[in-house]
Amino acid sequence: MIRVAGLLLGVALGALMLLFGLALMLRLLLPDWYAVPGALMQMTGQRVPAVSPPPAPVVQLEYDESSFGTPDPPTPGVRNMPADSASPTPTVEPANAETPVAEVESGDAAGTLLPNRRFNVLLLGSDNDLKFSPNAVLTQAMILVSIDPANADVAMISIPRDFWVPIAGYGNQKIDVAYEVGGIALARSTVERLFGVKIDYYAWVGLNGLVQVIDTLGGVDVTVQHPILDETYPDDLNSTDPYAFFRLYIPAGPQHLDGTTALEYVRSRHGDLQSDFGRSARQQQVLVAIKNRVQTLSVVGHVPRLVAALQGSVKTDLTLADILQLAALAHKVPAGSIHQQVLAAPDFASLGYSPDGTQQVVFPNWAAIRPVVTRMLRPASAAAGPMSGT
Amino acid sequence: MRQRLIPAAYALFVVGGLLSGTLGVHHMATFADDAQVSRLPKNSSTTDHATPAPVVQSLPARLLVEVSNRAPQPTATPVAENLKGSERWSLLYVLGGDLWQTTPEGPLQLTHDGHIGQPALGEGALAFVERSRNASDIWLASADGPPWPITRNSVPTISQNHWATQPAFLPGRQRLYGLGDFNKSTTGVGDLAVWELGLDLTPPVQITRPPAYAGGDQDVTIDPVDPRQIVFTRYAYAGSQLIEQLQWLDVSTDRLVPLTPPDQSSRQATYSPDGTSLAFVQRTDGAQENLYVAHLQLADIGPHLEDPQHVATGVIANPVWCPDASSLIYIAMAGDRFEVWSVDVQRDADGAETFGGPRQMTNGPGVDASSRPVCTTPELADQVRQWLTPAPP
Repeated sequence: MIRVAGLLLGVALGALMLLFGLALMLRLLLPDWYAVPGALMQMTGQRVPAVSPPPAPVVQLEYDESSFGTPDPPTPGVRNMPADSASPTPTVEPANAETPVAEVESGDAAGTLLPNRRFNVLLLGSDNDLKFSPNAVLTQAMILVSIDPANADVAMISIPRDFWVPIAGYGNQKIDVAYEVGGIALARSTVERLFGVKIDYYAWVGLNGLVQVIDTLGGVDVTVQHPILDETYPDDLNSTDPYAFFRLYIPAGPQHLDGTTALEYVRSRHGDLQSDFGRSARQQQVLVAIKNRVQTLSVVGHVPRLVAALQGSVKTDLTLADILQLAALAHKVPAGSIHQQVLAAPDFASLGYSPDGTQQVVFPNWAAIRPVVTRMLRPASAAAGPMSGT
Repeated sequence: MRQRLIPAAYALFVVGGLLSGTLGVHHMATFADDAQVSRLPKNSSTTDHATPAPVVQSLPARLLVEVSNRAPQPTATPVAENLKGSERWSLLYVLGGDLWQTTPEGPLQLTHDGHIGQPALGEGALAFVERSRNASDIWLASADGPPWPITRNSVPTISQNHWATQPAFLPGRQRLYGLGDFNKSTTGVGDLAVWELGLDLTPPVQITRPPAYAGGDQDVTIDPVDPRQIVFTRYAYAGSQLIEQLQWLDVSTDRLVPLTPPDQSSRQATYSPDGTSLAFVQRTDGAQENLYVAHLQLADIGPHLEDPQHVATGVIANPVWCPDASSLIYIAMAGDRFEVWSVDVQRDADGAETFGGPRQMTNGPGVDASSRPVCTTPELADQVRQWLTPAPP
């Protein structure tokens, strides 16, 4: 009896070991065999090319030696000369009200941790200096970012902070109040209800958070469209006087901005001839600059350091793995696939006062907004022609 | 025979299985170690929380690879060798708020201030901008003595401070044009305009008058042949649309003529040394800019640009000419940083220009793209170095 049991035990042990041996052979002969299921291996960034693509080339000047002296360089617009026929003319296609918003399956997304379809991230930014209670801050920036990973297509819609909208339980208010009184849950549900989209993720960033993000990336390169002149820019960053101010001047033209200057660029409002709408456009511009910067860096090398530096300055339900994948996705999104829209007056809103006359507010023109949101958030393959820009 | 084969096969099976299994277990263990570091928890919670930092700290050092496409570190490469006739020209540029000079031996730091920008060279003098937190002033350096300010923020009240920037010399070195908001306290207009400044702290004289509360002026360049004529950029909003146009102005008559159409963002024009051409930057497509050179015609239908030649494409800023117009210098991206670039310019007997390929002239940690570089002779650059000693405060 004992002999039979010993024989069986030996057979079982031998079979088990042979299975491991077979596993070794498969591993050696078919190295991708382990990597198929996706999630775990993709997070390593080592064995699945789709998630850790080779770094994109550093942005280079598009010099084409052969173009010098050739007859077809772009013709500048010069007064008294024929207009540049090659210049893009923004066209707005007719809205298709039946196109579902943000619920379109966009096909294979190479098995990411993020949704395998277009998904939406609500970006929020707040002045969280000493003037405010840490847990009750308004949102000075509110940007709906919609990402279609399969088609490497990104849409950004800036929602004016002064939008006068119904907020559940609080009546009509400026939309920036939602986060102050109800946190991310209320801000999220308010945007979902008003815009008819599902918010899959959110990220909130405070003043120091943005500075740290950009400094960790080594700054961003931005072309300042016009000088930023602000006579009363708040001097409240790491300050003991929350009401201090200083004069701000950022000259126009291309330049490299460190975190502090980039914050000043996206936060200044008093000197902008377009006020909060101009500021919203600058915020989107810096987001694109951050994306461009990420594109030139080693994602795996910087994101963990970045996340470690951001404790307390950023709140999000994106995990580190999600952020790594977003950063990897940034490599794939060409500049032409980033569609930007600021819901500015007069096209998408009108300026006015709250019914009690105490607040300057912005009244949204939903009839104009909804078709644009629908169009921007449809799959890239379904969109014909360029999106309208800001 | 059969009784011997069965135990032998059994022994071979067990021993072989153990051997291959051991190897397999060892390999799987090694692989598991590799994967372990990245087994990050997927947090599906939607609650308001900070991103978990400890996960980051658990990443092994080998994953913290450095920048893969990082720009080369600053080198002592004699970058001026790229410039045609390197013994003929020297470049002055701003890096980290200080003035630098290219030399055949490598870049040379001329100041150690950290707040300097916008250098401009005149006859026997260098103007530059000294910036503080709430204000900026234009300073002059020459052989006459230590650098001195020609504008002065003397009012301690922050709201009374001014910006003075982008100096450009009129012929001679007694007066120059620059941007400022000197009448801000009386008009309430904070946007910059072009002002004429003397070297003797006399009150500045306003030259351009941008539309109040709708825009401002910048990038002034002076016709070297007829200094009554200037070109500058005027930016203004028409509704929600930003309009950036090159404007030609006869200061003596106040005749103002736009040189570029409103639907093409144009800026940073600079006169060629003979005053016949303008180099300027125009944005025609998204984030890309193009550098053009066009002839400035004043006759017939009035001031207008003709025969635009495309020179370069990219993120381009602040073109300037070398004194004999043989090279056009500008700032553009080199990898992930701004550097100074140059193209050779050849002009035929009819005045038609052809341009060579772009060549990178600096190779450091990145220049300040918002400051115009200066192309000058090595002798004059050496004089500038003398003028700046001792360095300004």
